[in-house]
Order: sequence, then structure tokens, then C-alpha cells
Amino acid sequence: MKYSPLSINFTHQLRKLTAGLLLVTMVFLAGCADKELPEPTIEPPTLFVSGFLEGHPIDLQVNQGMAEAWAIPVNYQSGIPSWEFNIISNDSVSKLWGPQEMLIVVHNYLPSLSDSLLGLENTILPGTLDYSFIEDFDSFSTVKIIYSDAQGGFYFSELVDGQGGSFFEIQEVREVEMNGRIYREALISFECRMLNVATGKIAKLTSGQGIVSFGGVSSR
Amino acid sequence: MSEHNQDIDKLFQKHYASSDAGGFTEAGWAAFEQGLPVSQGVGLLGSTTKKVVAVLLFLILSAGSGWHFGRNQSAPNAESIASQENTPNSNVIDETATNGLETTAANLTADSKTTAAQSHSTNSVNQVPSSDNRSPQLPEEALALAAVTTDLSESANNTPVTTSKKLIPTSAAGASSNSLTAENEQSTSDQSSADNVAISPSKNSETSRKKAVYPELPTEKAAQKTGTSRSLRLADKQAYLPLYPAFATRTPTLQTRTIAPLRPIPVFHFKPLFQFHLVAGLSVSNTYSNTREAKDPYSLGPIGGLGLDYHFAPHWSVSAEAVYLRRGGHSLKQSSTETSQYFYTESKTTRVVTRSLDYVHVPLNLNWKLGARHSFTGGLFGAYLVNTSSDISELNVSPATKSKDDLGSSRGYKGAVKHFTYGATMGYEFKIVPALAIGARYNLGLNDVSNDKYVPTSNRDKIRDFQLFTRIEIFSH
Repeated sequence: MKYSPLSINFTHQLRKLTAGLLLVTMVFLAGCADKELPEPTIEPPTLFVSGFLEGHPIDLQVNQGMAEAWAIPVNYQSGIPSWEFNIISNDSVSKLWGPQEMLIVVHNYLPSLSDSLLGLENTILPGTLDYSFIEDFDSFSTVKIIYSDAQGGFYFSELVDGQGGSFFEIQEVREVEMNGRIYREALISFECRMLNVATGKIAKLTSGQGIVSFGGVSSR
Repeated sequence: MSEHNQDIDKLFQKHYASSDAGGFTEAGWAAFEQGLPVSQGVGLLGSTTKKVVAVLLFLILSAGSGWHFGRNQSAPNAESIASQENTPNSNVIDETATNGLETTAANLTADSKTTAAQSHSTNSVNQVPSSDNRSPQLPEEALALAAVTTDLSESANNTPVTTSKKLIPTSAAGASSNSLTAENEQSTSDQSSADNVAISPSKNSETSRKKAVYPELPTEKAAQKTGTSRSLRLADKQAYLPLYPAFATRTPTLQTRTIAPLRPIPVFHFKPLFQFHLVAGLSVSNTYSNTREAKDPYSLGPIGGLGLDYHFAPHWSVSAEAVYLRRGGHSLKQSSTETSQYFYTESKTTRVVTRSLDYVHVPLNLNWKLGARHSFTGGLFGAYLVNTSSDISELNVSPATKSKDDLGSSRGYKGAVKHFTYGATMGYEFKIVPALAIGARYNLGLNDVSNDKYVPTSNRDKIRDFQLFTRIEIFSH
């Protein structure tokens, strides 16, 4: 018994129905792309500096808001183009005396003023840098380290004459682009002697190592 | 040796002794035959008991025959006359047949048998032709009313058809039995003067003409009553051929009986039937939440889909449907945080709150039909989550800034609930018209829909919804 007046041709109706169902299903499934939220990310610190100053550990690393780092592209300090890396602790305890901070500056005595990026590529290279402050521009480059501890001590490497036995070595370098700027990330290892300007004593920084970043120039 | 044979032997001995013993002569043999007792020659009627039985049987048959003719004949006192000749031209016609202008050979044969039986019982063997003048004189009752023929020539010209009846002796019946020949027809028509009965042509002259030219066979009913065959004997047919050429092309010897086709008996035969139908309606379902936001206890959403029924018994069917169902009013939160730690720590937290869930329900139901309008369904369903609708927001945290951005709604985040659930369903349908029905259905989930990854255990819940729908049958096969 056929109730519906539409039941004229079963095969014809079935074909139309099947085609319609397939079309609807395809449209329906096309709009049903499954989206997943990204998994929560906890990455290891990318930039850090660690070592010992007169036996006291130094551990600054960008991790969960405890420290921040900055790279200053070109700093014409004393008329000399320089590349600076500054890492600052956000620890509340250290803020009683001031932030725990370390600044590493690399001078380029043979800058290409017209091309800052070329100066970065020619400065941050695997090799060894000298701590001596050079007045006559005889050397290609030199490096200085400034450190501030949580108790208010303020240390300068450049104020110590005769850095015999000290070294600053760039072991590896890789180029990183962030937000349209070019950085050169360097794996460093260093030791030096530093003068405490408050007490006039020289402290020895040992077992220094870290991953630091220089640059911040605009990409080509 | 039986008594009968002993009598024959005695007769032979007697005649042989009385004769001149000169040998066989025709006269002597004829005299011998005349001396034979009639009853002695028939074995079946040899004994006295058998004679009595034969007489009784004859009376019964006579009474039965009279009863039959009494029913068929309009004149109960009419008697049929049979000629004593068994020739193809024997044509003694019953008066009843003449009334209907149906000169039937069946009645003719039956009446001949009846008369022959009477003659046999009363006047011994009388099988010799009448022309031999050896037939005994028939009693007065043997005079019969002979029905004579139809004037064929006149009937062919639509002239009044006449029948004539007259009393003729049986001995003259042999001569009159040739009345079907042309000569006798002419003489018969000439004699039809005084007691002729005219049949008006105005009644049915065409029928009369046809029946006159093509006499029909006796009806089946008449043949059954008379115990004769409807078919003419071959000899009769050959005798009729000169006058009735139609017999050459009709009257098969083997009669076929046409059976009217049986009228179909209105018996209900169930045939398995496939039916497609559409379903559309509303659903009232429970809601889920894993946030502190206030939520409605129930939500209202649309449903719609397509189904297939298979009627395998008069009151039973199974059905499968694919029904789209939207359940809204939920508050299911998912969140994820991304951090960037190159120079400083920067976090971006994405928060997704799912508001509605889009399911495809596939219920498999067993349906029981009560009467013409009521149906009860029950079965299982599987539900697949095909899509969701969610509100998206982002929270950005950096050492310098902290902001929250609402990004509107988005679809496709299905992580808050399980993609597949199942449960039981039961419902009722009322058929308004043959192709349109309304119904209600309740679905109860048997497993938790919450995803353990995002939804706390305390907020686990199962599908519970109540559906009101309209069902339209689109076509069947």
C-alpha cells in the first residue's frame, strides 16, 4: 500500500534522495572540521647566564617570568658601535637592593656604519674576545661584563687591568629572527676578574656560561 | 446345466422331432424363433426375482422421467413419442421443445429410449424396422403427439414461424420422421392449417429466425436432466448437414465447459514494505557546565532528519533514522596557555567555552502498530558529535601588558565532550493522515558525555532529552 502521492517512481526518487544526501553530507562534514586547543607549553629557558662570583652562584634565566632579557641593537657607547645583552632578574627579594642583572657588551672597532647588520655578522662570530679596553682601535673587538648582585654589589670587568687567565669564547652562533628583527644567538663560555666599585675589591667570576643574544637589527 | 438351457434343449428336441428332419429350412427356423419365449433370451431377467426387480426399476425410472419432464414441460400431460427406428432420421420431437423452437436431439434420444423401454416391456423385442410389418400393433396409448417441424423457408424470410401438431400413429411416424427433408417440410407446411399455432414475429423475429436456421444444442441443464450428451451423434449430424450447414463448422464432439473466472476473494495479503520518511521537530535536552556561569537547566533545539522503515509484519516494523539534533545552553570551558621565553616570558591563554553541541542521532527502533493510528517505538540510539559552537577569548600576559580579547564565536572545538555516546530510546506516534504523523520520543544516554580531560568528574552527565516531532512519509516501495 502506497500512501504518498510522491511514490511514483521509487528508483528515481531514491537516486535523487541519495544524491541530495551525499551533497548535504559533504557540506555538513566540510563545516565540521575538528579544532583542538593547543597543548599548554612549558619550554626550557632559551636565554640564560650562570657562573660563580667568589663562590656565590649566579643563575639568571628567562623562565616563567623570573627574568627578562634585552638585546640592544647598536649602542654607540663612547663612539664605538657595540652589541649589548642585558638579563635582569624579576625576583622580589633582589628588588630590595636592586635587580640582579648582568650586562655583556661587545664592541666592534671596525664597524660598517652603513650596514649595521653587516657589523653584527662581522662581530658575533665563533672565536675569542679580549677584555682589555682598547683606546687606539688596534684590536678588532673587545668584550666587557657588568654585574649587579642582589645585595647591591656592582662589578665591572673593564676596570680591572691585567685579565691574565681570563677568557670569553663564543662557541656556537645561530641566527634567530623575531618580530622582523635579526638576532645572533651565541653559546658562550667565560671567566674574568671584576672590580667591586663599592668595596674596591676584585672578585673572580668563574665557570661562566650561557646563551646570549645580540643584535635586533631590522631584517633585509 | 441351468434351467434356461434345459428349456432350450427341450424345445430343440421337440421341434426337431416334429419336423421332417430333413435339415435346416428358413421356414422352420422362423417358426422356431416365433416359438421362443421372450424372457428366456435375456440373461439378466431370467429369474422371477429379477423380473420383479426389473419391473420395479422400470416403474421408478418412469416415475423419475415423468418428474423430470414435469418440471421442464409447461404441459404436464404431454407425452413424448419415439419412433421405433434407430435410424439417423429418427426425429420425433417433444412438444415442449417445439414450444421453444428448440428441436433438440437430446430430448429426441431420451424419449426414444423411454418409448423403446415401454415397447420392450410390453411387446417383447421390437428392433426390426417397421417396414418389415413385423412390429406388433401398438396400443392406443402408443399414439403420440408428434411435433413437427418449422417452416425453414418462411422463417428465413421473417415470416411467421408456425408449428403444427397432429396425432399420428407410430407406424406412420417413420414416414413422418422424414419431415426434415425438403419434401416433408413442404408437406408439413401445407398441412399446417387448422391447428397451427402462430408465433408472432413482432416479439422476436430475429431470434426466431436465427433459431430456426441454426438450431442450438440442448442446454447443459437439460442435458443433465435427461442424462444425454449435448453433442449430436455423428450420424445425426451427417443427416442434418444438408439443411444445417452450420453444423459443419460447429458442434465439436468433445464439449468443453467454460468456467467463469473466479472473482478474487478479498483476502489480505501482507507484503513487506520499505518507507522513507522525514522527521522534523523540537528537542528539550539537559545542559552541562564546568564553569561558575549560571546556566539554564534545559535547552530547546531543533531536530530534523531522514529515516527508513521496513514493515516486515502487519503490525511490526523496524526503522533507522539519521537525525540532526542541536543541544544548546551548555557552558563547557577549555583553556590552553602558550608561553614565549626568548627575551622575556610572554603567555597567551586561549579560553573556549562551548555553548551548543550538534549531534547526529541514529536510532534503531522496533515499532509496534496498534490499530490504524497508534504506534509505539523502542530501541537504541548512537549519537555522534559532529560540531560545536563556542565562544573564544584570549588572555595575553607580558611583563609590560596584560590584556583579554574576546574573539567571538567559533565552531569545531569538540574537546569538551566525548564524540560518541549511546543510549536507549522509546516513543509514541499518532498518525493524523496516512502520510503524516506526530510523535514524541525520550532519549536516555547510557554513558557520560563529558571528556575527562576538561570536565571535572562531578560534572559528568548523560544525555537526557525529550523530542516532539512530525513525521512525513515521502515514498514507499
